[in-house]
Amino acid sequence: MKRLRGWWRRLIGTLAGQRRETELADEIEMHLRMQTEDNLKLGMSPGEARRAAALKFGGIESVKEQYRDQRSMPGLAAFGKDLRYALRSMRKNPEFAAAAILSLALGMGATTAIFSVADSVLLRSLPYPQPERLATISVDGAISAPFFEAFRHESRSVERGALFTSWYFNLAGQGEPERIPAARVSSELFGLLGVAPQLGRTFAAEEDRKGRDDVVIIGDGLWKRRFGGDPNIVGRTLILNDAPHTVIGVMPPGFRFPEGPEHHAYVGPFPPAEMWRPMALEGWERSCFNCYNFAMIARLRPGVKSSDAAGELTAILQQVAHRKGLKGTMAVTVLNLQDAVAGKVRAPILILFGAVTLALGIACVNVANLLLARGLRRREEMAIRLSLGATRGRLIQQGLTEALALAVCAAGLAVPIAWVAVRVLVAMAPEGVPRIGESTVDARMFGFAVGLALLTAVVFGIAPSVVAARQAPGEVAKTGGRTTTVGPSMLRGALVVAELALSLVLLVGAGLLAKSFLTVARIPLGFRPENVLTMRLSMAGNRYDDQRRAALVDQLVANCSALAGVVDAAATSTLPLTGESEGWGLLAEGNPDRDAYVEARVRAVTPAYFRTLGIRLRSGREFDENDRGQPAVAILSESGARLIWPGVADPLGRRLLHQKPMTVVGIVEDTHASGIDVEVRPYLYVPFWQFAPAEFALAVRSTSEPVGLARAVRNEIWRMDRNQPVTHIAPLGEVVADSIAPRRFEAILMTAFAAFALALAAIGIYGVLAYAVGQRTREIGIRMALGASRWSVVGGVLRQACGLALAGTAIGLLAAFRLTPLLRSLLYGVDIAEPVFLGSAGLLVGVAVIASLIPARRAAKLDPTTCLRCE
Amino acid sequence: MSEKTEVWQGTLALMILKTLEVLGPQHGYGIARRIEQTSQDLLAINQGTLYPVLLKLEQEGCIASEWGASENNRKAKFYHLTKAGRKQIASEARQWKQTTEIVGRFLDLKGEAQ
Repeated sequence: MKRLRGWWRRLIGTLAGQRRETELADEIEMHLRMQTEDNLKLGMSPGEARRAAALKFGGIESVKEQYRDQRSMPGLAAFGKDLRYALRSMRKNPEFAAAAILSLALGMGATTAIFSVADSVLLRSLPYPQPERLATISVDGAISAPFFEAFRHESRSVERGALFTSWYFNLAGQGEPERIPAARVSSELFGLLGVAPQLGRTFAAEEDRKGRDDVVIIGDGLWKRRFGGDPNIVGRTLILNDAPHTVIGVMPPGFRFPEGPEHHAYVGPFPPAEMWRPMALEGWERSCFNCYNFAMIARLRPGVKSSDAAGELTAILQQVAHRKGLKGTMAVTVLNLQDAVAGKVRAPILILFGAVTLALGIACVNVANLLLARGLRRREEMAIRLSLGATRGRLIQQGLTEALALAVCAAGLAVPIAWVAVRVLVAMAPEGVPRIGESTVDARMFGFAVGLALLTAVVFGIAPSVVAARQAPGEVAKTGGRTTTVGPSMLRGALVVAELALSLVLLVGAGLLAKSFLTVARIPLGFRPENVLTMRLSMAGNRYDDQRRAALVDQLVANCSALAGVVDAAATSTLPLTGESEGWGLLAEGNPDRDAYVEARVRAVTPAYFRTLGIRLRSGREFDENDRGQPAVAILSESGARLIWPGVADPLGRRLLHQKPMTVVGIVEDTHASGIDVEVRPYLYVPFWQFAPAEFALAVRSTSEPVGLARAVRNEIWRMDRNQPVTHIAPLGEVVADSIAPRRFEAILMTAFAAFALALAAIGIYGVLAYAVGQRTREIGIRMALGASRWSVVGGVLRQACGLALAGTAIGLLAAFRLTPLLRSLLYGVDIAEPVFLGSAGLLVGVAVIASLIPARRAAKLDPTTCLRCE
Repeated sequence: MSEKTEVWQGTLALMILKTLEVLGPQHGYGIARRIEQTSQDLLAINQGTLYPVLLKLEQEGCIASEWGASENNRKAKFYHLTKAGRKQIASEARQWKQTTEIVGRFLDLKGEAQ
């Protein structure tokens, strides 16, 4: 208690100032006078009396010093002084401070941001109780209802199971008609997930039957947006797909299901559901073993591993298949829900995280280098202070304070950088990255990054002080601080080499990703997206039967074609690059081998489709009015025709078998309609009338930039059907760009990291060479005085630069060769990667040489006489 | 010339406290003189070393100080004991006695092994 009080008073004393100092002086003076008087009484002479008094008192200054130390906290006071000194030296040397602080702050901020995104997308647990027990179960991406029932009843690993699939509702009534992404789900689902609605209830088991299924649950977003958060929403009737449905519940905010691309691999990506309706299986769905139209989610029993469950379910599947006489050997995939949600984005995010961590590493190496350089420059100052009586501890404390000040400034700056970076990442990220919206700056990662920066700053900030403190002060002072000690220079060279090597790894990575992106962007699409406007429509519901729908679409296409500026208009079941369509097994008529069918993707199109999209007709004709009825006709893509009739030059007029026979009337160019970076698939086009899908897209080719047409086309649609929602209005060019957005995103980020790294490496090599030239001023002066040419001086500096650059490049290339296989899943068409490796290496060496030109020039401009005199 | 003893760490504080207890309020010089007299000049202290100790005691609340007039009507800083200081003397004196007693017993040991 007493001691605590003492410390407190000392702390106050540190802050309180000058008054005590004069008081102490007075007190001591008084003491001396009294002693002197007493001495006089003893008969000393005045001078002698005063001298004796002073002698008896002891060293006045040392007493004062002790007194001051006792009064305050000397460590703390010194810290304050050091801190002021550090800030002053930052101001005096702003380039150094800026380089160190900015590189650290950028490194920390970017690493934190990427990790924050990775955490929310990949690592953070799903918002359900015991999420590790949730899994998706599928056979090759989907499941059929009878197999689901078998799994649910016979499996010991599955505690509860539910089916789901995508759905759309057209919501009519007040306001603009809206097409709402929805999901059809088993009534079990909500209980299985362990989520309760915020209002109302979830589905009862009997509502999962045909006839009782006119109920919906709505999402929080839709509830607030469309219904203004109406607390009496439960029980209200909505007109959905032209039929009344009763709202029975509202899910809480943040509830998203299904989520992630892998969930609906089979049905194509679709925006997060905002409405849920009961599964209510149709009779045929209930009994069709081969109708793989659904996704299944399950809650596994506690302690059951995915692999064990997969083994058990595969056995059940095969038993059932055997019992039913189904052919084919199939295996069941059980995927932890978290992994299923992350899906394909897992690899890119991890790779980007790796890259940004490398960049942070480079930033740390760079700062280490800068700190070492400054420490070396200060050796003389330190030597002088040591010889003037500064303790070694004090010198080290000062180095530490300065390093901490740097790191703390950088950390302070990194917070807003990370904050902004997370938002930019979320905004920039391609569509379909699950859960990215939940990203917030992650405190743990920030702590880690700050810790790393602090450690670097501390180690390399005090290292020069420690070295200096160990030296005999006389030595340094004697040489004027100009001799190079081999140790620190070697260390600095090694740091620069490390920096260059790490940068090269990032450069190669960025080069490979950029090359992949460019390769993909240059692939001929097989269609011409310029000046084409697209949008999606849905004529689901009771109002439309197939005939009425076909008639409406005809009318719509005709009206749109008549609009000013429109060249062609067409409808199609699925636009290129907007998801996968149904596959049909096609057999050439007369082929005796019934297993030799070719799987082709089917697209229903109206007559002008190929002209509108700019798909070239190779032979035959497009569809026309005569194809309205029977006989069935079809158009094949080139590769489809080749696969079905190998070796037949022109299969026009031949017939295909799929349920019923179709006559091939045309062959068209292959298109990359399933994905630009996916191998070309065979496509079968059938007349829209014979197929009339409820969900379809409209494409309009105009004479110029098509965006201006959007309003006119939409009005045309609404003139025909006021309750028809129109979605995904976009130029086809944008659809194409969006389909490769992930590649662009990865390439841009990686290039940004690589550029950052390259800049740091340039700063690093510049720093080392500038220091080396400064150290050798005298030597250079002597050599020039002895007749060395300026060129040989420049050559000397460049030689040193090239030595560092080549060492860094060699190590970097080795590392890049080892690391690029990790990138493989993100690459496309860069099997021959040598140009990228060589180009990156060349760029790095080039930048290194340019960075070294400034010190080299300085060396060449030295005037020998000045150099020699300045010593 | 008599052999002078170094002052042990901490004992100076006790000496100051005890001096103040006996003399009442006193200035630094007075305390120094008194300690010299009491120790009969056997202690080798620089009088100056007293002041950091006085400050420490003041910070710990054992003594307090105020400026006043000396015998010769000079301005001087006078120190006096506080309540906490009196307690401190009692406890330190007890400890000191205990320590010297223990050390004394060791010094009184006779060789028993032989």
